[in-house]
Amino acid sequence: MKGIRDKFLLGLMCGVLGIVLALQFRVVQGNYLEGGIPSQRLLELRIELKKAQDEKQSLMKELDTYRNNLKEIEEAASEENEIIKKLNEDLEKYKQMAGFTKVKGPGIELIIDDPPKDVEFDYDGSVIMANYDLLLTVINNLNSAGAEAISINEQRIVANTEIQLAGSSLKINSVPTAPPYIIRAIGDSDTLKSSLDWRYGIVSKMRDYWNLQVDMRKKDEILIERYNDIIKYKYAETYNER
Amino acid sequence: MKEKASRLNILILSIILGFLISIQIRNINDRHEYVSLDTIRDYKQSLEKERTEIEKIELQIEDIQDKIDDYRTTKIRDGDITKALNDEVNKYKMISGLTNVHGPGVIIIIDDATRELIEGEDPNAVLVHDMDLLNIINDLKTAGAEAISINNQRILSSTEIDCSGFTIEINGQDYGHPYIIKAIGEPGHLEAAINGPITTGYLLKEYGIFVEVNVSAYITIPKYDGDMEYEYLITKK
Repeated sequence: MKGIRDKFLLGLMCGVLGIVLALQFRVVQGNYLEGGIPSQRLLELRIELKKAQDEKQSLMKELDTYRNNLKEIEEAASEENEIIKKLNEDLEKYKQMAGFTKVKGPGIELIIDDPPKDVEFDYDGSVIMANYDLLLTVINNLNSAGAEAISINEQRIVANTEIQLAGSSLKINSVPTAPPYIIRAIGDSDTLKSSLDWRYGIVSKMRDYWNLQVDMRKKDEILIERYNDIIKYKYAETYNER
Repeated sequence: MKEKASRLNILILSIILGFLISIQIRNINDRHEYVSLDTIRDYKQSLEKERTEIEKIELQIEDIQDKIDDYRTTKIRDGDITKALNDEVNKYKMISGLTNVHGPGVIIIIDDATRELIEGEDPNAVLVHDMDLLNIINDLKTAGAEAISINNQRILSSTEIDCSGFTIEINGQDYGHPYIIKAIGEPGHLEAAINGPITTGYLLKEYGIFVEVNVSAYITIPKYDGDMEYEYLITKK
């Protein structure tokens, strides 16, 4: 009788041990696959990010003062001279065309995000980043609807803008970006909207086929940032037709 | 004897159990809370983004300082800044795509496939589509193309490439096949952007579409011919 009790106890213990071991394995395995790292690292990253953001802010301010300085020099000269005044007007016009001014106007805002996390069919990685040609199509459609300025995640679309998948980040104007993608476009908001949401068009393709979360909104005023980089051509040179 | 052994067993197992439970509890401890790798990745991405932007802003500051210096010296030398300002206007005109440009680069010819259809295959598989051109243009820009044209129509920031039936509409004008894309930039990079594996050009070739890249030391690309009128857009001061 006693022997049986002991055996039963031993069996129970083994059972408990098994469960605990399994739990432990799950924690360890989780770490390597998709689980976690101690929050210490997160804290460090958070501080680093904050520092970088502050630095960017102060640099932006510095840049703005320099821009104002430059403008003052240009405008001060234009008061004395008609030719310079005309040149200044041209400069503003071409800067606007090239995407080097901050602009505003009516238009639409489109927010594209990855499908909600699915436990059953967990797909590692981002759908919208892997299929960035969807973004190209959206921009293309907006352009055919007469968009006057477009930006994705604050990156202004200029003639040289590329969208490139580099490892785990999607580079737009060589700045790494991540979902959600916020596309802003200035133009006739009705036309812009209908160029995207026609039946079996790009929005319905993104929603139904790729299961992406797409939110589209018409807005009375949209602000679009200027292109924030310098463009220097190394190979191309201007020539005049004779 | 047997009883002793089993007691010992229970003792050892209990000790192990104790260890495991304490490890488990330590894991739950606040300071060692586990965050998912996704969160870390998000933070890393934002950090990388901020750093690239900082780099770009620093470059711009340098550039603008040079420009201010330039204005000052020309003002002393020539009395006014007309020349320096004129250069500046031309620079932005060029970036907008409103000047003719020349330089080294590649000429790419893309045409419909000549192969026979496999039985039951969609004829669309052997045609060149608007999306193909759009992707190729993006590949070229990624490779650092400075100016691009399709059938001599300049590609601008506001250029659309639309399917309009049998032709493709670019900047509001229709063009039929073959499509001749010209791009100015480092010729080696541009060629690789079309011929390299898993590029759009490579995929098109797999479908039998005719894609040919010619490197050239001198390419001319015409300016955009239309005018840009802005109806909705206002520059914010």
